[in-house]
Amino acid sequence: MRIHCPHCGERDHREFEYLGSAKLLERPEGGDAAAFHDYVFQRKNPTGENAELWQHVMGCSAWLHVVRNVTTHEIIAVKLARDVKEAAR
Amino acid sequence: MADFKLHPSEALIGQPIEIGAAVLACNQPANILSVAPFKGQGMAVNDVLKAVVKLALPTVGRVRTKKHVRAMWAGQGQWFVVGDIELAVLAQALDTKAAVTDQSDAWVVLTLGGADAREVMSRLCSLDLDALEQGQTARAEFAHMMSCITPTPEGFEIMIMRSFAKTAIHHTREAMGKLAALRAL
Repeated sequence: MRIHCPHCGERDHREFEYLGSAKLLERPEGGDAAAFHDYVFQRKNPTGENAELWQHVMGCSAWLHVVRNVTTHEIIAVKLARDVKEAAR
Repeated sequence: MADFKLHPSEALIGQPIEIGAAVLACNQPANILSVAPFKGQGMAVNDVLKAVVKLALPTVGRVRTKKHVRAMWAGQGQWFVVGDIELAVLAQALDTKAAVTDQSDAWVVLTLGGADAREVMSRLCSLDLDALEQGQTARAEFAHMMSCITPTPEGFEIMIMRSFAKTAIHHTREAMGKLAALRAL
């Protein structure tokens, strides 16, 4: 599995660290306990495409938003998590 | 203030290690300063650096050299200014524009040269070495450790965190030995 880092180019997956679902970028504002419970604990468990957060920990240190097919391990799209978060604002 | 700076140890790599057709040496610069521009201050930092060290920050994955100072990309939002430049000078000049920290004793600069430098390197680092040109630099895995790899006319410069230096030298020495043994068959 190789991930195309927007800064560094295509690198082996051993250079990256996996955090979890990209849902972590959508931290709810305010004190709604139900919304926060959902943010922390509830995850979809899809087959096929899933948006995830990876960090290029052995490389440029950037957090990446990676769309990956969890069945085939095909990497479909990689963006800087920073840019994805900015675009969502 | 007390001087907390650690100084290079002769015992670590006193003289170049030569095995087969590869040479590993330590080429520690006078200073390594990390420059991390604050949000939206990139251009302002460039202006200051042009005035102070006659260098602008290189783009992602590049190195720029001017006389005895070099600026290299070191990751997202971070550059290293390496060479004859004092922390106080740069920290004062970039005061409100960037975070400047002294990394001189935090990183060890190794050089790998000789005819087999590339062969040794390919046993330790998963980078596509053919695609790495002069003037480029890469943050990459080197013997399972994070590093900055910069090609030089003689071979490669490997920047590794100081606490990993012994491990890096050990692994490089092993790779050099194995390659030399292979060549002697």
